[in-house]
Amino acid sequence: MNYYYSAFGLPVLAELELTALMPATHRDESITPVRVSMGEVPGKLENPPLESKPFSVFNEHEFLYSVPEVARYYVRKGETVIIQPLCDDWDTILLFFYSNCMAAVLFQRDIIPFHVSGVFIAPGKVLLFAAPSRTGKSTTAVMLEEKGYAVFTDDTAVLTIENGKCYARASYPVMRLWKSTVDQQTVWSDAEKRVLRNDIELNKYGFHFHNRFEPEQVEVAGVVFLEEQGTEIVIDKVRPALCMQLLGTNIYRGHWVAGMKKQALQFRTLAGIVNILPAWKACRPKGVPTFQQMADTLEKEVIAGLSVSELC
Amino acid sequence: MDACEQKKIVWLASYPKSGNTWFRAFLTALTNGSEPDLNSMNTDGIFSGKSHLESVLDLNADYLNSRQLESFQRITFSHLAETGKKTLFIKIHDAFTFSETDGLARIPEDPSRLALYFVRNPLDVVLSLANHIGRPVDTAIDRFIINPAGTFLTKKAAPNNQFYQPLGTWSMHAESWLNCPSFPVHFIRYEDMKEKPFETFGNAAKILGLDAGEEQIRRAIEETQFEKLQKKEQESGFREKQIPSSTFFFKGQSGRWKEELTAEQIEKIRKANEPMMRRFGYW
Repeated sequence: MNYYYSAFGLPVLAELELTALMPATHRDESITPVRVSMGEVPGKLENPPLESKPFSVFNEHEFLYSVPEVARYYVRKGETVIIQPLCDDWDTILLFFYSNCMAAVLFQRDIIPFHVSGVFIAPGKVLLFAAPSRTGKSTTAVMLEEKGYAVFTDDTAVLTIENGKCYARASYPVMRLWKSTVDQQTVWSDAEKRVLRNDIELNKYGFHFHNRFEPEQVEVAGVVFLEEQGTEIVIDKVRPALCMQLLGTNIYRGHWVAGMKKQALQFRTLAGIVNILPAWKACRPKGVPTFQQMADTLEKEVIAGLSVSELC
Repeated sequence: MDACEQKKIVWLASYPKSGNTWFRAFLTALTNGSEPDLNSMNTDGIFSGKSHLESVLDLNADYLNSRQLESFQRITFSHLAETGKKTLFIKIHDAFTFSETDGLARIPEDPSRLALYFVRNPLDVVLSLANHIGRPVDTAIDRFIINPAGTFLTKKAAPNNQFYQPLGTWSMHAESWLNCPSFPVHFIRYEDMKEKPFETFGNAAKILGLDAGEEQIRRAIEETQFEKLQKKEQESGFREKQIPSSTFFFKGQSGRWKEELTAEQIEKIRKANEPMMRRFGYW
């Protein structure tokens, strides 16, 4: 039996159930699907590797990833993903598929994934939050959702430029939230939470939002770079040169760029985005619960500042 | 490459608030030949940080169980040592402990060249620690200095950029680094860094095999005087401090305990830590 899904705007045809992906409503024949199967993963790449690390070996067209006692994974030409399980804990096996295998698929298809979360600030317009893990992307999105701005994507998205506008495609219809975030919001109920790994005491849960997920591309109204810095909330507009630098540091698996020979693609993608996308840097104090205040300030200083004409 | 050349890691080890950051600033000033930028020091992160593991292994460290974490930390630091071109100076606050799963040292020994262990009178450490964590001195004593189960953070995964760090009591921490590593450990007293800086910092530079002359060492000591670091923190902040509104470079004095600890607090600390306090001349 095959399952049909959509992720990052790509059709995914899988032998196994991938519950974190969005089921496809129709088959898009114009794009070659990503075929996901189970089987034996090759011991080495067909061509010489350009990067070799303890778990990852890759070049421009192939990616091998091995997590001891969990699984081995092989991704080729952005079209083929083979998973060889080494245990029967599928929650854990698929965590690495959703993160690394899909990121490898995107790079191999000349698409750069970004480390962003985002919310809708108007119909068909989203505001994105870029930051490294554990800086508060998801929490910021949830705090804005409390104020009526629906979540668009959590943790990753791909960005493209078309006709002078920047568009984003969301990753998966799943929010991953720390307990500390769940406790301070009312949008996601405790009954909806899903355990992410069975064998560890993890204060982080998955929440599915398949019923309101937008798989089509959506125009990006702006990007906010989140930082933990200083003693109070400060939001400043960012010029294109700094935006280029900040966006570069928020490429998902950005350290793969050289080994996958995507430096030119990275430059083209970033240069295209920063020239048209308004950007801000928002700083909040480290370790202090200021997310609600941050959401208020973002609404006042960023969302309200994007004029009605820009949003309609 | 011979085995010695592969041993690229120098651990800058200490119980928290014992001069580790001060030494890293000195090392930065010495190797840069200029004033150190506190937020961009020339050392190579902290053992408990998630960033090294995440970038070497391409994964999100929040989803690891403790068995994976221990094994993956060893793999990460061994890889950094194998592929690095220079000595890696890694800060570490963990006590030197062994895995409950496989019995191996949690800190990888094969790529370790040596450790410098910074030790400071626990009666002064506790005052600095209380400021660092923003809690009363009694909390710092009970939760850390005399607590055999004392840790920074907890095993339960949380949205922190560091893993939990086993500390034990102050005495257990020092003893673990004194007795357990298979690589050389050189002990440096905080009080000596203050009282005889040239001799102490100079000797440390020699142990590290750094090619530094007397003038360079004196200049690096001058650039990293406590008051200068304190001023830098006030001017440009310090990302490593736990509480944004607190001061990392707080008072830096030795012997404050004589004025600020009660007889009961001193006795509590002594009772739990006397063997190592005697060993390092603090009792």
